[in-house]
Amino acid sequence: MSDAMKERLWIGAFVLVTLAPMLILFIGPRPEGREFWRELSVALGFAGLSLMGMQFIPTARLPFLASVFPMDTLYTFHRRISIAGFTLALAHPLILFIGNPYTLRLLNFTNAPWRARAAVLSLLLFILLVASSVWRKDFKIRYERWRTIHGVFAVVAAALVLYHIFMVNHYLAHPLQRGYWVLVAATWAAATLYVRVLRPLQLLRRPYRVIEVRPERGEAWTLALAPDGHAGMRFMAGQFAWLTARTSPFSFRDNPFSFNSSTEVHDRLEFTIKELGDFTRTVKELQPGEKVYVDGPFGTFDIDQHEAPGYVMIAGGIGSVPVLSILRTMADRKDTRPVVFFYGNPDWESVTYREDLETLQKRMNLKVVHLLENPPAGWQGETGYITREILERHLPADHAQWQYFICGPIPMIAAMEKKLVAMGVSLHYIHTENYEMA
Amino acid sequence: MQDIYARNLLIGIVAGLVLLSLLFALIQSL
Repeated sequence: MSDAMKERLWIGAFVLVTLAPMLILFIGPRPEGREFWRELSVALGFAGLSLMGMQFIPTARLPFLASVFPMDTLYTFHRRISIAGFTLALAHPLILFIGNPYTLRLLNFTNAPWRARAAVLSLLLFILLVASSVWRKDFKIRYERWRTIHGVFAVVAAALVLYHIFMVNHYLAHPLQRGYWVLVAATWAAATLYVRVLRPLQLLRRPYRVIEVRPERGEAWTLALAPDGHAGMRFMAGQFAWLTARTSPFSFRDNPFSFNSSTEVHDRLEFTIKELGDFTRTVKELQPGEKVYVDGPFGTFDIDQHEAPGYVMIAGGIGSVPVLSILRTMADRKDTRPVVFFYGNPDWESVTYREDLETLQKRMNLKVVHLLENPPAGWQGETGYITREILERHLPADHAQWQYFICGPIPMIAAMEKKLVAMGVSLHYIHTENYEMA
Repeated sequence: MQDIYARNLLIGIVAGLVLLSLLFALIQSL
C-alpha cells in the first residue's frame, strides 16, 4: 500500500473516531429532550472530549503513524487538537452556568456530588496542562520537568473526565455509547502503557555505547554511537531519534536529534547536537563507553520515498544535520543525481560541516550555496536570507520537477514554502522538518 | 505541506463537531 493511501486511511479513521460519539448520540435511544442550551452544552462537552481523547495518539511515537506522517506535524497536530478540544470542553460548563445559573452550585466543592467534583478537578488540570504547555518558557518550567507533569496530569485528567461522564450517565445508556467510551479509554490506557512501559523496556534491551564525541563548527558536537550486544538499527537518511543519556529510559528525559551519518554505515550511528539547552550542553561531557539509549528511527524527511531527477536542500544552521545524512548516503551510494544545497549561517566560522561539504562536493554532483548574515571581507558568495532571486540564480530550468527538503525553524520553513510555490513548485514536492519540535 | 493539510483537517473536524452539537441540541429541544 502506498504512503499516500495509508495517509488517507489514517485520516479517514481519525475523522470517523472523532465524529463517532456525536453520531452515536443521534443513533442511540435518547432521554427526553431538555432546553436547547443545556443540550448544546452536553453535546459540546462530548465533542471536546472526543477531540481531547485523540491527544494520546500522535505523541505516542507509534511506528505505523511515524512512518507515514512527519513527527513534527504529529506534535503540532497534538497541540492544536488539545487547544481546540479544550475550548469545546470549556464551553460545556460555561454554557451550562449561563443557561442555568442554578447549576453554579456544582462548583461548591464541599457539598457537590463526586461526579461534579471530578469535572471541576479535571477542568483545573486541563487549564494547567494547556497553560504550562503554551507558556512553558514564560513560566520558566524546565523541559524535562514539564514532560513529567504533562504526562501525569493528562492521565489523571482523562480518568476524572471518564468518571464524570459515566457517573452523570445521561447519554450513555446505549451499549454503543458506553462501548465507544470504554474503547476510547482502553486505547488511552494502551497508548500510555506502550509509551511508559513497553517502549522503555525495549530500549533497555538495546543499548548503545559512546565511541566518540568530537567538536564541530557552530558550537555543536558530533556524538558517535555503536550498538552494544545487538545488530543496531537501519534508518533512512534524514530521519531522527530520541536520545537518552546518563539516565534510564524510564526517566523520559530524551531529546530528539537527527542522524548525520550515512545509512550505508551499519555499525555506527552519528548525531550532531548544538549546545542549546540543558541536555545539549552535557553532550560534550559524555565519555567513550557510556551507555546511550536510542529511540527511533522516526521521520519522513528522506529522499528514498520521494524519487526525483534532482534535489534541493535548504537549511539554516544546525538544520543541516539531516541534510548531511542525505548527502553522505547519496555519496556512498554513488548516486549521481544533482543536489543544490542552500545553507544559511551567521558567519563563515560557524558553518557546521564546512570541510565535510567541501569533501562531499568532490564525491558527488553537489553544489553548495552558502548564505552568510555577516560575511567576511572579500566574500564573493550570497548574503542574508534566501530570496526568490537567489533560488532562481542557482536552480536549473526544470526545478519544478525536483524535490525540496527544508530544515529549520517554522518561520523559515513557511517563508521558503511560499517562495517555492510562487516559483511553480508543487506543495507535494516540498518536505519540511521543524528543528524546534520539542 | 502536511502541516497545512493538518490545520485544514482540524478546522474541518471542529466545524463538523460544532455543527453536529448544534443540530443535536436543536433536535432535542424541539
